[in-house]
Amino acid sequence: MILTDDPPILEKILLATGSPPTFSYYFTASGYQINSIGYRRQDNYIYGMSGNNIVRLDSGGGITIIGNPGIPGSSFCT
Amino acid sequence: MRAVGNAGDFDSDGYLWTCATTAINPVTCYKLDVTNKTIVLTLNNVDFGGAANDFSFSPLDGKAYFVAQTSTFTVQSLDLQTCSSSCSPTPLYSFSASANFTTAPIGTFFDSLNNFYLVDNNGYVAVIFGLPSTSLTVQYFGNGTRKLGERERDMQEAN
Repeated sequence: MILTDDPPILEKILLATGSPPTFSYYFTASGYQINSIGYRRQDNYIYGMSGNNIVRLDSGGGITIIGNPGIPGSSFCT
Repeated sequence: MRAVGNAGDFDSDGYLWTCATTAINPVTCYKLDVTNKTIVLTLNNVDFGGAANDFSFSPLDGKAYFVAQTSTFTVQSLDLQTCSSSCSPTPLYSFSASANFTTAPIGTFFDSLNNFYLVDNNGYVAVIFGLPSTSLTVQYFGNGTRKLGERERDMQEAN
């Protein structure tokens, strides 16, 4: 899965040998710019960074702002 | 992963690593505990060897793999788990933009068999087999039935 540009949209890519990849819409994270996403298998969530804040994405497209863990400066991830 | 700069992934222990991977190296990387909202480790001197838009941790050796863009695209690895005062990449394989892969990868992913998946900004997908060796093979899947960004444009036009 990848998040495309602003507004970030999570897309699922399906691959099959001999066929072009298929991109399927998953959900839109409206109102956020999110980067550095990754899947955390320990709790089955996708997390990423929005500015200096950790954000958590759930399967329905909901976003929870976890907060800044202490990263200094402004907008580390833009 | 957006095309402008910042990369990240979870390691096998559930820590999120995030790095500001601009063309200007070295950069700062953070190892984050997302459940306790804390910085576990800060690496201030990480060299990606070029601009890299994403990295993924290999399930085989735990190193971060990415494609750095210079005059070509170079698959490289970084051992973020063990480097401290400075971190330098190990180049493994270079390729150029082609009809099969048009831009620097914006997203990367490892499957459980340690196959390394890349997707570029135009929806082209490639898979690299054989990491962490340098005896690699690449399979190109072409581009998607729908290029990245088209849906965003559709939504903006609808609004």
